[in-house]
Amino acid sequence: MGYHWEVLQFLVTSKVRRRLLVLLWGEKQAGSVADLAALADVSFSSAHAELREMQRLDLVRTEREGAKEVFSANPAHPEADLFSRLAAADQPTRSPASARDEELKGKLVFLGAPLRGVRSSAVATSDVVPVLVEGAQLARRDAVVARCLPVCFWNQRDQLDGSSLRNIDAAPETKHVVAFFLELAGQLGGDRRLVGLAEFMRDNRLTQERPFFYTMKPGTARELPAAKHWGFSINVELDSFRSLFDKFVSK
Amino acid sequence: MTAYRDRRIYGIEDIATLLREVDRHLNAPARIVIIGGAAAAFHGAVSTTTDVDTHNALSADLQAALEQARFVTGLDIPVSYSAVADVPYNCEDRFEQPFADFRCLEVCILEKHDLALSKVIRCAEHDLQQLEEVHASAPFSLDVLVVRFRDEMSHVIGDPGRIRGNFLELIERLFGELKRTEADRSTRGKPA
Repeated sequence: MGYHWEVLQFLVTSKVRRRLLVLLWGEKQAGSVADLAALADVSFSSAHAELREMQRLDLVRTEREGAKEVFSANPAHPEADLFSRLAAADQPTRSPASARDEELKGKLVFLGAPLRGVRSSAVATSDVVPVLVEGAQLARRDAVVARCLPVCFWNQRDQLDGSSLRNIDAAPETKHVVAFFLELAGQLGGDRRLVGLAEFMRDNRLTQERPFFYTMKPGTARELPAAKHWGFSINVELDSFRSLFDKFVSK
Repeated sequence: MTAYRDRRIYGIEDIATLLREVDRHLNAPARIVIIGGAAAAFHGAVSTTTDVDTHNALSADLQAALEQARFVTGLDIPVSYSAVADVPYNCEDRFEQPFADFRCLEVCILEKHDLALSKVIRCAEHDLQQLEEVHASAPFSLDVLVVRFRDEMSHVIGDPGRIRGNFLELIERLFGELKRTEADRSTRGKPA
C-alpha cells in the first residue's frame, strides 16, 4: 500500500471529510451538497456540515447555478498543490521493494523459500537465524514472503534450539512473529518440538492483538489459531500456508 | 552452508521452457488452464511463488509429459490441480493463449479481471498483494470488474455477504475508497 495513502487515512480519520476531500481535490469534482453526498455515499447532513467547515477554512469555493449552490476545490488556496497531492493518494499503490528486501529474499530462497524470479544468495550457517528473523520482519510487509517462511523455518529446524532463539536481538513483537512462524512450521510439518521452541520467545507484556500485515484492514482477519496464539490477527487461512508447504517440503 | 534447493530462478521464462518441453513429449492434444500466482505472474505480478496451479485436472498423459519435461529441463516446478478455485462463469470465452505455436498442448491463462475475481473468494493478503502488482503493471478496469462480479459470480460457493465484502475490499485496495463506494452502490442487492 502506498505511503501517501496511509498518510491520508491517518491524518483524515473522518470518512466523510476524507471522501469529500478526495472528490473535490483529487477528482476535481464540483456539485451541490446533495450531489457530493451522493458521490461520496454519505448522508446529506454530514456532507453539509463538512462542506460548510471547508468553506470557512477557504478550502472550497461556491458558485450559484440557478437555485443550486455548487462547491468545488479552491485552486487559489496557497496550499492547493499540497491538498491535490494528498487527495490523489486515495488511489493506493504498493511501494516498490527495496534493494535490501530483494537481497533478503535471495537469502530466503537459499533457505528454501519458493519465490519466483529471485536469485538465490548464499547464507552462512551462523547467519541462518538472523536471516530468518529479518525474513519474519519482511513478512509483515510482504504476504508472499510470509506464505513461504514456514518452508524456510522447517528446512532450518535442526539449527534452531533454545539458546539460538533465546539470544535473538529483536523487539518483543518481532520475537512473537518468529514464534508464530516456528509454531506454524511445526504444525504444518508435524514437529511439536518447534511449537515448544517458540515458547522461548514469549513476552508476556504483549497482550493486545494486532494485525499481522501492516496493510491489513480491520475486520478482514481469518481464523488461524497459531497467529492468535502469538497475538496476531491475519487474513490468510491455514490451508494457504499448507498448500504451499506441502508442495515444497518433503517430510 | 547448505543449499536446500537448486539455484535456479523459476520465472515466467522457466514455465514457458517447461511447457514447451511438455508439448514436445505429448502425442495427443491436452489442455492446461493456469490460474493463481502463476497466472498473476503472466500478467505482471512480481511477488509470486514458483508453483503452478491449474483449473483443470491433469490427465495421465499430461502428467507423464510433465515428468519427462522436468527431467529434460531440470526445472522442478510443481504443477498441480487446484480443485477449490472459483472463476467467473464465462471466463473460458476470455482465456488467453500465450503459446499459440505449441503442437499438442493448449495453454490457457485466466484473463486478468477473471483472475482478480477468482481471488475474491479467498481474498488472502498475498492474493491482494499480487493483484496490486498486476494493477501497477497493467491497470484493471473498475467497470469490467464490477460488471463481471455482478453478472458472472452468482454461481460461486460461499457466503454471498462475505464474498461481496471481499470484492469491495479488493476494489478499495486497487482504486481507493471512493471507487469502493461506487462499486458498493453498483453491486448492492446483487447476489455474489
